[in-house]
Amino acid sequence: MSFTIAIPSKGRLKERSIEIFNEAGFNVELPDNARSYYGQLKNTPGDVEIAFLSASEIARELIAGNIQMGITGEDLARETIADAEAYVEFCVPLQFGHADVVIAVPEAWVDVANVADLDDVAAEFRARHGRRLRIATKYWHLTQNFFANHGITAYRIVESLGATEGAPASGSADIIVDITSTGTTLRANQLKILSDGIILKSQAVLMASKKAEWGENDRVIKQTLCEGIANIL
Amino acid sequence: MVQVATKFADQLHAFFEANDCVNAEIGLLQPADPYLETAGEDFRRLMFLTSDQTSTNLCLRPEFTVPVCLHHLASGQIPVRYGYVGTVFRQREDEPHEFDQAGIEDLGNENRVEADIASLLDAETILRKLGVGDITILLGDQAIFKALLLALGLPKAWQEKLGREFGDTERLNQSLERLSGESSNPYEDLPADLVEHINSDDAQAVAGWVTDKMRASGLPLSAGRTPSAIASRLMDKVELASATLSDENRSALEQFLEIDAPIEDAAKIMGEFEAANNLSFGPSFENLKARFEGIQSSGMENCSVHYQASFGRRLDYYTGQVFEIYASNGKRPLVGGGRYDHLMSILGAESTVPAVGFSIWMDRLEQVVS
Repeated sequence: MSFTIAIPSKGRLKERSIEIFNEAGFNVELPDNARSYYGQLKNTPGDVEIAFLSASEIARELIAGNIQMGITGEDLARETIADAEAYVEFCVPLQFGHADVVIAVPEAWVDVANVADLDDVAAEFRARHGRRLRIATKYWHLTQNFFANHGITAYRIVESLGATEGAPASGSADIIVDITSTGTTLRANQLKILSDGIILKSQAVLMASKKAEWGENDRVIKQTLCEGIANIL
Repeated sequence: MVQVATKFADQLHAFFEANDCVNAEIGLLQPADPYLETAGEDFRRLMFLTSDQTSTNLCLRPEFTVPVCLHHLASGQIPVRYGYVGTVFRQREDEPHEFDQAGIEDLGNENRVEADIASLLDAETILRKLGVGDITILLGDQAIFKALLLALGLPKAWQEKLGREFGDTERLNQSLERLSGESSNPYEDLPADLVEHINSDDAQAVAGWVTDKMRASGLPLSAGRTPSAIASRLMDKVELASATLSDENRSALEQFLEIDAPIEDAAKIMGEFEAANNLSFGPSFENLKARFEGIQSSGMENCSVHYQASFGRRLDYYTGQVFEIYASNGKRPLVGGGRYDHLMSILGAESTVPAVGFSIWMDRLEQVVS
């Protein structure tokens, strides 16, 4: 089996990933055909194929062990599987793609500044409204883990398919757990982040699958890539 | 009819019939929402979920109590005891995902003490009939801790917070530590005009401020938290921010949570606790003592019963006695049971329905008797 490393197939994550490989001296050869999803990485101690996949697909493929390495957001790896460390090695944080997964509540909730306040509000919510407090999110696992660790049980997750930040205003949820890099979107929607409501500080990370097959030379390639990239950061 | 795997099914059904328990026929496929509304998101992780073409959430039956209650709700609600035995499905770490449970749910019986004792004794009797030897019973009570919080005269918000954490002693101790410590600044990050309204104790003006803010944010004013609820909680919070839990109250709570005694001594120890702290648990204690006496006079043999004051469940529908039964030296309970008077109203009953029941983990029982 050849060595495959996956990088995001579009946008800024793709550009920065390619730049980082090139800066580290591993030249990226892009496919001649712009529609192709495969490329090559050069100056490595063995053949390395680049697969261009969506960021969430990269997380899934690493966890499944179908690829050796990949660059994707830490949030996606941790959201895809509860016990991420058992499946994925977080090798080199790449210092781009910074984003936080946060709990945000309406600014009008002036009595709610932190997670302890939210716990009180969630608990009294059912008594007042006959239903649980609803949280809109795409991050089911991260939300469940965080709330369980903080002993908060009185809530329901509602799946957010589109713009999560609009859920409180549309009435489909009371609060949200979402990703934010600058906070601009949250502020525009008059939502505030709880003072201790950062669930995960995420960034793009060079990861290795713990479930993939690792031949002796594959390990050499991995070490070369990790050291080469760590050196330029 | 659902296939029952346990070899004890016939014996269980015979017991149900001899004890006037109605057979509850509960489907394998259940709506998931009642579970998520009652047991919450933590329970989601234990369930096997699916959905139908209309996107209704369904689950493989993870337990019987909720569907038995829903069945009772739909069927007229005269007091009745239901017996059940069948397969349930749960995502468990090192135990099979598919296993059998059996149990009795006693719904609508207003004589709570009698029903509590009967529930515990039924569970014990069934274990004996199925061949379990020496057992240990762990008893707790959800109501008495709340009675203590009330007797100590703690602020309502603290009573609610600590009451919710009952059953998780580590978390409870952390909260006691926090409440005893330095007070926080309640005005942090609040706009000046709002602080002014709070300081002039003008609840209406605070609610007005929140209303304006909600309008400006495009938030529905009635679908979720209302401006008046937010305003009143904010003002309570400001008032409480300067309060700290006194050393006496903290020590009383800690002493209480450490009570762990054989049932023969438990009432006496609790009485001494009352006297030493100059307080009274009130009616909950009479209720507890009546149960202790009933259990002691039942003549159970080869059985040690312990009352542990800190034992409870962090599920808000449990309201009174809770218990677990272990095979001696067993790590996991063979039986879990308790009084859950709030469950039926959460599921839609118009008034409180007294409810008590237990469930036997048949897979664990079969290992013990094999």
